[in-house]
Amino acid sequence: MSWQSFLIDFFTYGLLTYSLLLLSCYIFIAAFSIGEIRNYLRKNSFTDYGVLAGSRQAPSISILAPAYNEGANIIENVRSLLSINYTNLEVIIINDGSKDDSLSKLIEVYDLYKADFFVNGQIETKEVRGVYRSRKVVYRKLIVVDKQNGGKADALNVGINVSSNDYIVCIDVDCILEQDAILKLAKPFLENTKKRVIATGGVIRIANSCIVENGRLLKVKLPRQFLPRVQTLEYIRAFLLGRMAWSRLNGLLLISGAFGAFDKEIVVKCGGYNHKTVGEDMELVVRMRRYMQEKGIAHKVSFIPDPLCWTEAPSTFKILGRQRNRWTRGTIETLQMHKVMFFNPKYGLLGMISYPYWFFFEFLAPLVEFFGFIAFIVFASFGLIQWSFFLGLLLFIFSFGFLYSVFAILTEVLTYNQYKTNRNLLLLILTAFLEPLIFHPFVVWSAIKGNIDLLRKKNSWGEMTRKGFTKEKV
Amino acid sequence: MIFFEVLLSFFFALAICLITFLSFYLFVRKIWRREYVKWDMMIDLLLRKAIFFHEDKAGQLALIPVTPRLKANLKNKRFCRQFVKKIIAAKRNMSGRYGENLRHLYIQLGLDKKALRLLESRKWHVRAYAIQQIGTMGLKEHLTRIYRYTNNKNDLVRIEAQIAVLNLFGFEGLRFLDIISYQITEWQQIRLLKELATVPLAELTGIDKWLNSGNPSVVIFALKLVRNYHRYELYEHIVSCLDHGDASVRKQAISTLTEIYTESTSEELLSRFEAETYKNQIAIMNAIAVIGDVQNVSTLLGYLEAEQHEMKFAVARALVNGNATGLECLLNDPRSKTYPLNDMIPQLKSEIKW
Repeated sequence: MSWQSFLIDFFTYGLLTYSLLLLSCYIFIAAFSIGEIRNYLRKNSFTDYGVLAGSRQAPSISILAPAYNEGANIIENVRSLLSINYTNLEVIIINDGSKDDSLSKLIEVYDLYKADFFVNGQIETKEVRGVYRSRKVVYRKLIVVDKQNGGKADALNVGINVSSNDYIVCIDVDCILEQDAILKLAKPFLENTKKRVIATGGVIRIANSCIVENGRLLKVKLPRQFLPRVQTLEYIRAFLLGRMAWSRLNGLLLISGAFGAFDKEIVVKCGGYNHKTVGEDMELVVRMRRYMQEKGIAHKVSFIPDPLCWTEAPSTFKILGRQRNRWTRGTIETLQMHKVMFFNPKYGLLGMISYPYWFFFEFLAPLVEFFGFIAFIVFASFGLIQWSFFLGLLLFIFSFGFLYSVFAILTEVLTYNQYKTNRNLLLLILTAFLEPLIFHPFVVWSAIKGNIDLLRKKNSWGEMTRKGFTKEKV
Repeated sequence: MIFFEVLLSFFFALAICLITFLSFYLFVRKIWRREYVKWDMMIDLLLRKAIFFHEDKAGQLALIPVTPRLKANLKNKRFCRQFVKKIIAAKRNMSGRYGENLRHLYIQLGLDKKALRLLESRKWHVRAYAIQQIGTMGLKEHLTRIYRYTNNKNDLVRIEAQIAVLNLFGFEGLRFLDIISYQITEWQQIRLLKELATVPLAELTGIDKWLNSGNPSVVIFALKLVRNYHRYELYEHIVSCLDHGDASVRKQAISTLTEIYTESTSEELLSRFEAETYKNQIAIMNAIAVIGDVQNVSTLLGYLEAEQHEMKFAVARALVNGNATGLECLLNDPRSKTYPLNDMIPQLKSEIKW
């Protein structure tokens, strides 16, 4: 055997083994999530969340919503947050040095005044220019903080400093919350006996094409455009299958930045959000878990399969590319910052399973896929491998991807069934078929660009322009 | 290559099977939904009839007229489940004669026997469902069968049994606290307190025993009972809980004392301040800010030396609210001119204005 053929065999079988391992992980995740979802739904059928809404014993929660140039929708978004039915609640809007009229609009509509307020600088942040409260009793839950621009992580840290409650819920101000979202998110914190629940996340759904009025979701619709629709499918797969399985294993490393609840005490002890990474949401969860592990405190990061939060997904390749580029950089930065956990038995399941999974199958997967694809084309072009083998491998991966998506759609129908009509389901299945051909290659390419940008030390967030939600036609 | 072909065919075949199942499921569900709508009307009609039924025969309730069709439908599991769901929801919202009529209908249709059979199920959610039915329907005669589940290893079965016992016997039902070995989670405590709020206020005995329980969650729950029902006579017991070995019990005791305090409570709390955990120290300061009656202002001024701003702020607030001269003492203190106290004082002053 020549060294060339050895190298090609090594490469080919190496890639095949990697693919099979990855697929096995997906199969395990899918199978493992089912039991968790079933148990949750059974328990949930006995739960009356109304008990929590008016209870004095309910945990005190601060909603932190950073806003940067959100003037167009800020009033509606804040109104939506203030309408949440929960007694022990304060809503903190952090104006992160917006250049538009966000603050003046808030001051005018909510009758705000600059209050004497001591900001506990337990986490270092950019300068706070002022804290505003409303003169109207009906808005007593509202606190608006005006600060110098410092990015999302810095704004959230200011929110943590200002908040006076035990738990914080971090959300994107333009997200639409379900009415019982906070109640559902709060419950896991009340159920811990042996393990301290340090964070809870919920399912994020795509709101493109949905009917929204006054910051409330009136009607769920499947996105009309292909890109948001394929992301709907992607989110179903990721949240309903992926995160539920990781939650069952107690190995969850990510609570989405768009909507998550945290134990403030632990967040403060860990130093709050890290503003040196664009993946501050994942980084915080990993740091909190690492802290708990190092202190030897039994803990849990919990996840809820209910759709709790609706957000607008990028509908153009340009914006989607920026988002995925950022996600890639955030993942790599987080993995770099916590590399000590890699296969480190001291960190238990996190070190031995969660971290390696993220390293091999989240960080490396696009790289392996991209370079593997190019290498196979080169090998096949030079006759080193057969074209039929290459196509066979591609079709094999494609068929699995399609199967996995169909399984996710089935799970969605059997559980929450948000997209009720047969037409919608047919569209989702068709989207599942097209995804590996159009969407997936683009996502892989964006991840490669993310890697390159990271090597070039590019640290920008990337502008995320949104089109706004669909309003009901009168 | 054969390996790929086999797997590829398998995956595609499986995907097609899943899609076929999905289509079949949607088709069946559509038929079921139509049935549900039809059944809904049938059940609503019967429940309405039952609620307003009042035909006494020699002091006994007569049988509520039920159509043969409905009786036949009750053999259908899905119909039966829907019926039970609706009658339970209706019973929860009815009391007095109307609720009693629903209970009567439930027994008349033999649903109580079905519920008892479900109690023997191996599946925890089925057992919890049966317990919920028995509790809501007020079938007191089955107390012994439910009572043993109040300490079941499954948390849902346990809480449903505890709620059912409260539904059946009100405050007297709380005697499961004597034997419970599992922790009562905060969620369970909230549910129990909510359930107690709906039962007629009767004499609540046994709290002193629960305050000495070996199960810390029982002690915490007892402390919450004392707070909610303002049991001043148990004041000394609560003060003794300030020396409990479990920090969360002590924290709850501090919280309870903000509801049933005396002139000496603030001093009692202050005397334990230094030995407490950081979290409980904050709780003590917050409690003092509510209770007031601080005799020795200098002690509080001493605690202003704390490093953490959170603690400094809590102490300053306790000082301002705890004694009539507190604010003056604070303003006279040289530290009040420097950060962070100089930033805290304006907020504390504005709080007084409110």
